[in-house]
Amino acid sequence: MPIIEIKDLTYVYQSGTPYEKKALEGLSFSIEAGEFVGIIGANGSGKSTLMQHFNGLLLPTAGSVLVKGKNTAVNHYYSELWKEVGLVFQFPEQQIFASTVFAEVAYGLKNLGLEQPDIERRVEEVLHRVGLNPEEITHLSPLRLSGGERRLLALASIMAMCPDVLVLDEPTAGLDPAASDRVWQALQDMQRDYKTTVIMVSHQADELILLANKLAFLEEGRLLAYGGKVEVLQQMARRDRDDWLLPDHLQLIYCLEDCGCQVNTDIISLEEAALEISRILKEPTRCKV
Amino acid sequence: MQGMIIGQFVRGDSVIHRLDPRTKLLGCLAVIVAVAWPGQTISRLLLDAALIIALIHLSQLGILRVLGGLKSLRILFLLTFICQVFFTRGDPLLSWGGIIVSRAGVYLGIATFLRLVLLYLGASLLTMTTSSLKLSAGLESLLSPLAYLRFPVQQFAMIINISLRFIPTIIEEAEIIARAQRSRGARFDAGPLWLRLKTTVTILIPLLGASLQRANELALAMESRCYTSGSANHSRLNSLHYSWIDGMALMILTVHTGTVLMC
Amino acid sequence: MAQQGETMGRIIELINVSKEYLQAGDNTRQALADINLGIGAGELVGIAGMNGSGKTTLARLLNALLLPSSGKVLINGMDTTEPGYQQEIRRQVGMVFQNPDNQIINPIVDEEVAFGAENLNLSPAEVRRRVNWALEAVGLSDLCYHAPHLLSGGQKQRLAVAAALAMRPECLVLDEPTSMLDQPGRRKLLKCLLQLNREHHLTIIMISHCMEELAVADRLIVLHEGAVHMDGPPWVVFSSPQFTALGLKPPPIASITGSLVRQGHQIDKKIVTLEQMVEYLCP
Repeated sequence: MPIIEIKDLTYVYQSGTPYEKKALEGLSFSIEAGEFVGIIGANGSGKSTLMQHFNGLLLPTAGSVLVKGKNTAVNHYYSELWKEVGLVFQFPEQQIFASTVFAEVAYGLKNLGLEQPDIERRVEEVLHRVGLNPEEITHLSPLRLSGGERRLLALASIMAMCPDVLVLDEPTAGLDPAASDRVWQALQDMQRDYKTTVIMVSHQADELILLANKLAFLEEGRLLAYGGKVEVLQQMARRDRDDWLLPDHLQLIYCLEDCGCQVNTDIISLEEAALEISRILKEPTRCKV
Repeated sequence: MQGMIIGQFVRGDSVIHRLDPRTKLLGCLAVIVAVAWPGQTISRLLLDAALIIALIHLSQLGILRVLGGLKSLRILFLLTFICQVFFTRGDPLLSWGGIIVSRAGVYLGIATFLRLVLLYLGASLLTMTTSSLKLSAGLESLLSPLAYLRFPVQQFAMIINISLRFIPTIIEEAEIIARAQRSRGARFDAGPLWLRLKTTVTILIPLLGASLQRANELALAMESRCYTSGSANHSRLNSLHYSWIDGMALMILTVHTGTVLMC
Repeated sequence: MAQQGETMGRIIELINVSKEYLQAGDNTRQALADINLGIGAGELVGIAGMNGSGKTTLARLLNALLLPSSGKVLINGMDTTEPGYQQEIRRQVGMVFQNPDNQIINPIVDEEVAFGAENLNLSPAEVRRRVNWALEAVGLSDLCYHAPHLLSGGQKQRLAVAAALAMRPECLVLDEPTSMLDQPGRRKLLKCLLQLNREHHLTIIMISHCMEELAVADRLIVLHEGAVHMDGPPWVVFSSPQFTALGLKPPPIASITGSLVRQGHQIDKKIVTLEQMVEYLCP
């Protein structure tokens, strides 16, 4: 049984008012437990709206969302979903409110009703997981941490709840490469150690396409492609070039294909792209226009 | 949340829209005087209400839309009416048990209700026909003589502008923070009052922190654009001008206020 | 290394500039150490570096928001520490900040753009002319009477650029303007900046984490721990092993060029952007 099933999901904001806006239309797809799914779409494509359906913050206007086989709209399941589906919004450090790092991470755990020894254990474990040193920082005010450390702290506070599904919106936005790497590492570790299903929402594909098992491509509220990475990327490349969401190295491959070059488009990583360009340079006839 | 605030500016080209904001602010002041002046009788208040409704008609705002806003104040109206009716002494009209309803009480109840309605209609007319920028420019201009008394008029107007600019942004931010905290199990709508207040803190603190940071960054941005606090030495893109309709309106206001004060 | 700055007129000069911050407990943190830099008129300069390398401090020294602890910052010959020059310096060096929301003051777009020009005490007619010109230059003329909070992030940043342009600056400094934007927003902002640089000869200094954006610059400066470690054309900087040693990653196309060069292919070493690569492979 898939851990998340979306059936004909439609969502309309402020229905019946002059500000009515259809954010999602007829989405259908499912996610298996333990998968790493990337959802790619520009701002306004509906990805934030979709994200909030996974943990019951929003309920469908039409269609249904099933998490672990249960409909989110039935029997107030949506009000308990936060225990099983963790949501990390963009720039999560903006939600930090506690006076110590410990209290911030412990907040969700307290709401879950855990006992103090469990809370302490989990806080220590999760801080190690994101590459922060508990001994040094648990008693500090979050304001004493750097921007990157605060991001990791906010992430840790959701990870500590050990949700079955972790949904994140642009978790590495604004971070430098070193901090970004720590985030990716922590997510992969969660996937490996706890079989956490990870759903990442992003407007840029660079890192995501390397880590994800599957991709979903959203445009203006519709799911245009879902499944294996190469297929979805090829679908994305067929869209309007001015708004491309693909990383430059993939965009290069598709531009060359458009030019009439015989190029292999079964490519995902930068290294594969470099190899392919190298092959083209060795056989210049492949690019006769 | 975008357009649903009562009394928000509605674009238009009616004669009321075209009035100088200072005239409209003075109009609001005239409404306050008419409402507060003790000599006003119910019939005069009704006449004033008719006048304002005529102005609302002139402003092409839609009478039903403006009056619709009164619904949200119905509890206030009911409470004040009840207080006036049951707690005012005078010739009894009705009585049962120990409770006396006096003639004066009913009269005062109706009068107070009319006063509140007038205030609401006057304020709505002002805010629905005047953009926030024009409002603060008008306020700044009217208060400018206070600068001689060392009152920081220009900064005051700047504060109003910035506050109005950021109200929608802050509301949006609060909603995002609330969603994030709900995703960690915070409940804003259940449990005892003290718990709910404690949960509200999880929104207020980040909001306050963000606002302080914003204030810092705004100050840097303003300085980068050559803003120096308190300088009268700056021009305005859209300066205010009185026209003949303002002249007429001010005359009417003066006459009306005069008749009110003479009661 | 900074030959470009010497041949054109230098509008910005940093001479032995250091900046320290006081911290809790009588500690000082050295944000910048002994910087010497010159920027010529019309240059498009990119500034890269890890978080904490001093980029924002450097940016704020350029329009006298911050003053150096030692050394001199000269804008067209004017010393930033002289109070009398500060207004003129801020007029000549416009600044756009990272957070699109926290630099917009007024509730209406045209009033926002007018703000700087109003502070210069220009006539209302001149202010209006500048507002129209600035909005045209960034492609936001249609949104003249809109409320800023309804604009997208990319539009807000372009509004901030217009607001700076209304003062007719000679130089625009942008501190990570795209880090809170999505891909299309970033692209539109960059297109706008390139146009301002190429057509209006506006000097542009841009700080960014996104190497694809800095690849189009004439010159790339890399800061690390408060000092200038690299300064040259992007293709030179990206291909140097020092770049990755400083904790940064070159953009994908530059990486591809680098690996092709290493494999012995005859490829133009200067290719760092997508357009350049497509043009080279498929003219």
